[in-house]
Amino acid sequence: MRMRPRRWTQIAGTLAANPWFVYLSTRTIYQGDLKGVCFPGLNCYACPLALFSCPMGSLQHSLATLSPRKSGGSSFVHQAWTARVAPLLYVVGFVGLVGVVFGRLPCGWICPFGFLQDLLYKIPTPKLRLPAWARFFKYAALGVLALMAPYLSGTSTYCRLCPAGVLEGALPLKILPPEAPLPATGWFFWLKIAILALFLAWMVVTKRPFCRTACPLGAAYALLAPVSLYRMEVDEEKCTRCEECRSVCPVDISIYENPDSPECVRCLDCKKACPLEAITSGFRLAAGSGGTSTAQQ
Amino acid sequence: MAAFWKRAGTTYALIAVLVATLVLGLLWGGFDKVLANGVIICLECIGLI
Repeated sequence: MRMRPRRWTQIAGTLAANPWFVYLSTRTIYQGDLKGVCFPGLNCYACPLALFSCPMGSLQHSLATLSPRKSGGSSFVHQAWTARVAPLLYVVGFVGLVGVVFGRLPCGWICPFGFLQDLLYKIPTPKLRLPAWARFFKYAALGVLALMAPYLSGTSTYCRLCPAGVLEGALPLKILPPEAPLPATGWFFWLKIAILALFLAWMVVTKRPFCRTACPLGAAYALLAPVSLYRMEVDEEKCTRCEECRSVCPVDISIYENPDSPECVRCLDCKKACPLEAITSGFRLAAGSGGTSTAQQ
Repeated sequence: MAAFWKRAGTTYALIAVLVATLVLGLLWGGFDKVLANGVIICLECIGLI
């Protein structure tokens, strides 16, 4: 059976984000300059194999260091404000640029956690659909847990609950600890394991539940998707609304209802599946450019 | 045509603002701070404490 190009890019994305297999013999995490570069998908930088930083982890850390709770009484307050906001500007600029150029394309093509969800959904079980309102939880995850709470509390609040963090960071480190001994784990570790187990079970029965309800990075890209350079278009004259697009869509949307949908991960599975070739995609701005009309919800 | 310019204007204005944000962040040392954070494992953040 031939594997789709997207599967190859998902494998490549997962390996590109986590190629530090040296850890297995040295038990030392990567500490080179690439850790200063953000990876455009959700990939925990506490993963012993990780080469890059997680943009959401870096964003929370930047906000946490600006927190009045953190800065009070430390030498940090004496730093120039430009140095204090610099990491925040860097991460916001990076995430924003990826979102405004590609929309949620990285979620569909290179995100390791998205890849995991696509694979788990292939397990043959009865499937459940996600109600449309559930998608708004990811914006709350971004606004409250990844932006407000780190600033107010001085801690990386979302990271403390993130199932990707426990799967890629906490569990591997527990199984293969680094050179320095790890402290004993408490109840919080087991709470995180329970959150991960819940999401893993959900991934088997529902299409990409984490991306659609809980991912703050996906939410940030989703906010920019309607104005992104890379976009989908549907030819209204060709489209018969047969729902073939929805049946293959990893986020369970009917693309003809809104080609600029913030939920769309630009995986292009619908484009391939459309029997009438009514769906196109590419880097363009204008509605109706390239001889196609765009259906709007 | 008006819709095109509205969308194009929004997209290009956002790109300009975000490029400026990214460049300022890099010039003021944002890369080094992200790097400094990335090379340590925050055990508390990942629930190992």
